[in-house]
Amino acid sequence: MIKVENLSRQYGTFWAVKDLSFEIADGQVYGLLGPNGAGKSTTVKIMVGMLAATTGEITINGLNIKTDGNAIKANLGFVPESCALYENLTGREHLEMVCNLHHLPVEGIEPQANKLIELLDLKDAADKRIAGYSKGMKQKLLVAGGIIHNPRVLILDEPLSGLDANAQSLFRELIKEFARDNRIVIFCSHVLEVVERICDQLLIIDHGKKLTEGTPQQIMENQSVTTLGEAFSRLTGATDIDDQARGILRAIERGNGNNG
Amino acid sequence: MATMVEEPIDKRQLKTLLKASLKTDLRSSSSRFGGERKSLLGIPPIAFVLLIYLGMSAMLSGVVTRANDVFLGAFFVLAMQMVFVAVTILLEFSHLILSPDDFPILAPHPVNSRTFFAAKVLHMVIYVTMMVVALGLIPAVVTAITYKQVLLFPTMFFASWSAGTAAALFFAIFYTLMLRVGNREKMHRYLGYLQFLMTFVIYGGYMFLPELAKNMFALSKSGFDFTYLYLLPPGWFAAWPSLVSGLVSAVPIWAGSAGVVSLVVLYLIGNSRLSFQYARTLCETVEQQESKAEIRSSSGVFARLLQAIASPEDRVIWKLMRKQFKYDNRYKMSVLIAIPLTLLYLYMGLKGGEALADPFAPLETLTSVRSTTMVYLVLAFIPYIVVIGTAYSTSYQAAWIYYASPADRTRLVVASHRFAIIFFCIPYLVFMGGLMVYFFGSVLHAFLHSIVLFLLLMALVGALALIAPRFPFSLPVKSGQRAGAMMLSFIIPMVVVVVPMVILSRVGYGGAIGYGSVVFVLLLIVVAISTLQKRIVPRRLAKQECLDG
Repeated sequence: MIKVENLSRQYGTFWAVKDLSFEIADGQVYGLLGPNGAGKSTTVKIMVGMLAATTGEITINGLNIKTDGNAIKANLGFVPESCALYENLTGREHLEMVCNLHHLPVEGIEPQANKLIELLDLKDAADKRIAGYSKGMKQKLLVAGGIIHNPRVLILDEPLSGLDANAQSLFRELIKEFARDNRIVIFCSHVLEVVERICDQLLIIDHGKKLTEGTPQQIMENQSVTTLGEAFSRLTGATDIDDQARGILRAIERGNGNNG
Repeated sequence: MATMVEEPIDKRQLKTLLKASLKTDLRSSSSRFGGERKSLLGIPPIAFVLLIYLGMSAMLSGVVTRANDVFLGAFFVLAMQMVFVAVTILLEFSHLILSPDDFPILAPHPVNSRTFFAAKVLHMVIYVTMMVVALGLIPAVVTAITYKQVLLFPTMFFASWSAGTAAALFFAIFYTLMLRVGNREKMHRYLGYLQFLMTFVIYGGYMFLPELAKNMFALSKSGFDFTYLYLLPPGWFAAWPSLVSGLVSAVPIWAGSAGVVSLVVLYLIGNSRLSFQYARTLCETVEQQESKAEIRSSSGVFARLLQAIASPEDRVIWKLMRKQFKYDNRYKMSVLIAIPLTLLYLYMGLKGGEALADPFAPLETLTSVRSTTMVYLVLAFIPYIVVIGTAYSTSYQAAWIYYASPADRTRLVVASHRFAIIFFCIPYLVFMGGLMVYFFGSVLHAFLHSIVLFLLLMALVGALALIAPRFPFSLPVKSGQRAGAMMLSFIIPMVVVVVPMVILSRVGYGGAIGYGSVVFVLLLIVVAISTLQKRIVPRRLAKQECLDG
């Protein structure tokens, strides 16, 4: 179980996250939604110990991130939004590095890495430098690195970005399988169709503050709409999207002297 | 986070982190996936720097043989080595010590602070050891042979290693300390200014130490007492070979002990500075810097200047260079390094008052080749430093825009070279014009000679575009790259600009016809290079691919 209480993070005078509280039960896929700059990535970075909270507490399975950081990390997998990888290592070396940092049995590392490399269709690139990988290949590698140590909590920040349709389907199923195994998955994404399909519980934030929380169905009912996209637009105040799109088109036409 | 600091070093994690760092170093110039991309002259940057250091160790060996005193020879060898190590740390800080990239990659994993520190220190020690082997091995052998004492070889080598490690630790700690002090939002900028100031100290050491050594060796022959040198850090380590050679007295013992103590103290301070928590601070500082950076529009004067003299491609690149200079410390440093080098070389060249002989006047007295080289080298390496510095960037992935836009690729490349000429070379040429008026005593001669220099610069910059056309900020920064580029910055301009100037200062123009011939030939070369540029550069650029990661 994950418990986040009154979490806040301040940069100078700017509050990226303000007084955020929520709980995630075991076996849940928990969706964290919000417009760009809402504070989603800051929240997950605090949860994995990459950033320090200005105030508030996070406990994961009874352990506090401030005092038991490494004990929590031993059972936590994280797939970051950015391609944070040592680009001069090969894909296989990256996975081996993660295994060693997590103290997996030495004899199990190679077969474990090989298995994931094969399942994620990275066999041809496994022994080449990450610097030459496509965005999708890097994303697959980040996912592999996030799960190779068999974590009980998996935090995914835009994990489907750059992946082809088959890989996206694979990861959607993987997330569901994780939850069926009574693990916790935190899923940050802008792809609302996917979020609606796989998340049991959603938290929508904006300007670092909680807007609403509930199942996708509850949120849609509360907003009296039929899709999560509509609910999201209403909650975040983006109701004039058609006008905005027309405005952009008019602006670029004007900028180019109406030449198209 | 105190509990994390208490955790012991995890040997398995240490081995893993160290392996990753070393692989990153050694592969930083090797071929990319799907295509070969080699570094300078096809040699990995680190190997290139080490090869140059190996060459310099021969020069240091000469110091040992001339010193006639174990301590004095060791002192200057170690002082030079400490300066070299300091230069490397200065130029390659983010690769060798702490990178803002480390934390995002390692933070989600259970790595403790002490393990991270140990991995960083070991990585630095391995790097310093490689440098010390290149720089110190031959002088250590020469010391043992010169003084016919086998034991001096390991002692001198160990003293070299210790002095290099102490210098590396000192600079690493000093920089991390600076990052910890003061307003975080401005820290990044302060670090840039600090690095800039340090270049004066470091290049000053590089320039003046050989001369100082020469003068001191002369003094030592006259029985001058150099005991005070034991007070300086190189003296602490030079005391070790001095003691082994049999010069046992209180001063070398105290100085030698100071060397040991300094290493221990630096290690202990480093333990608290180079921690994983500190890596977090660095990462947050960079993020904060990025999120808070205010982008102001161009100043009126600069914008008007752009409109008046620049093509659309020039405007794009010049504005980019200006903004990168303002916000990218790495780039700022790579360009600003020209200033201390300029001042130091000018000082070295002009101190005898004989460097700038009027090539129009009858050449009755020969000018010093060394002084002439110093003065003209400055003029030649300025555009080289700017052009090389502009090619490399941590934002190299943004170079996709050059490939995706319909802009003229050759003009995009040449724009950075034109920037170097207009904003760096011409102002310096004006300054040199003033110097020439002073030395020649003739405004006309100074003006005419400046025209020749300008044409030589045009030829140099044009040749650079022909040899290695690079889009600005389109290549990733690699370990050892900058140090390697700095070394090359002395060689290429030397051939293109300095050699002709040294010859000219010895033979003169030989009257109006001679001058006219020189200008005519140079004009032909500039025009030929320009014509070749239009043909060759687009072809070479067409073969380049965007490094989009």
